[in-house]
Amino acid sequence: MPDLKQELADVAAAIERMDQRAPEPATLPAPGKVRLRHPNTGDIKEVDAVPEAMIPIMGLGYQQVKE
Amino acid sequence: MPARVQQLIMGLGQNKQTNIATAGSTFLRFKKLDTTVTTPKPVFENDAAEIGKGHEFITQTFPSHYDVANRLEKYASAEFVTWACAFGLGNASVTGSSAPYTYTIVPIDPGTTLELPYFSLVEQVAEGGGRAIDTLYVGCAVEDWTYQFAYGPGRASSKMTVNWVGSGLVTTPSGITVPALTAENNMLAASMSLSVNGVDYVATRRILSGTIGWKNNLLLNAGFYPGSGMQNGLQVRGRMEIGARVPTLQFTARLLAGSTEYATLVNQTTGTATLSVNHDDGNSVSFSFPKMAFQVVENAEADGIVAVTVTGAPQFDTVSNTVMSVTTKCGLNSIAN
Repeated sequence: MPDLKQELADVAAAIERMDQRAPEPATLPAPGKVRLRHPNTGDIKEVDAVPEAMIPIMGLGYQQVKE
Repeated sequence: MPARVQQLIMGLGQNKQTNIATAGSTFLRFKKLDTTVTTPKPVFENDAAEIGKGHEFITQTFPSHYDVANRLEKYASAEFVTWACAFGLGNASVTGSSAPYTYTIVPIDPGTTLELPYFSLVEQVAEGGGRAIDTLYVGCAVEDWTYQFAYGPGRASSKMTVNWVGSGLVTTPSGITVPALTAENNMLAASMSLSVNGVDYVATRRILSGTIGWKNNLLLNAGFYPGSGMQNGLQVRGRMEIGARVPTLQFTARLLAGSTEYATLVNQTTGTATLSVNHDDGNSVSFSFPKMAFQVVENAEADGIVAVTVTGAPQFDTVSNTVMSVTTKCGLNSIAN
């Protein structure tokens, strides 16, 4: 039982340390790129931010990710 | 004191609503040409046709539903065409960190969703120190849009018409402060370029007039589903889904000895079709069909000149994964986003 208590305390401490960690900065798409996300599968594609590259992906239902 | 129809102030929702029942909060104020004023039309049914009353007359009425719809007819500006195409086709991306912003717009993929982005629309008419009309229509969708061009001078050479439908959700008074008029950049047909199936109709000075259109054939009755919602005892729509959508292209051009339209029809040759108009480098619209055949070719006449009218048959292209796309540039950000 003491071991179990210690294990629970260690887990709680680990969770607390994770919570205290600063959130990782959100990554932005590379310059000149845009991210498109499929609303059902969640798949994300990063393509050149030009209509010629975006249209074939958007035609499959991918939508722009708001950065 | 009556009010003149020119006192009508109209605001179109700039951003898409989060859902059909939640009004948008950002509006674009546009001028328009048609004099229609939207009505929040409550529909009632009655028992005239029912048997057992001893006569054929009405003895009772029953609340049914709200039926909201209207049209917008405007000179084609980069701002309004962007708005119409973004809400009418449904899948719009905007790129650029500052104006002019570039919009890439394609039809929604029915494998992903059947619902277009919803917008809000507000109409106000000042009268006698108050307002004769002050209504916010919530949960509206574009039924169809038509871009129309023709020879002749001025803004009338390039127009855009939108028919829209409301869910029936109405707020009166609206509580909306409509902003100042949106600065619009009109695109005259004189700026146009048009290439269809390998023929440059502007370079050859043959093109006279035409239309590009999109119709969603919204499933309006299906919007009144069990549990769709009520307002003042009348049903409202809880959804508006696309039906069988129809893209269209029709144009009339002068007929020459070397005209290829009839051969293109008979051989069912396919190619791209692109129509572009602009105000300047930062305000433009380009409609593009990746795969176009001809459905009908008819000889015609315009101002005594022999012409040919072509009705296109846009086909779905498996390379670009769409039947049509629209690319625009304008100074407004976040339309339909």
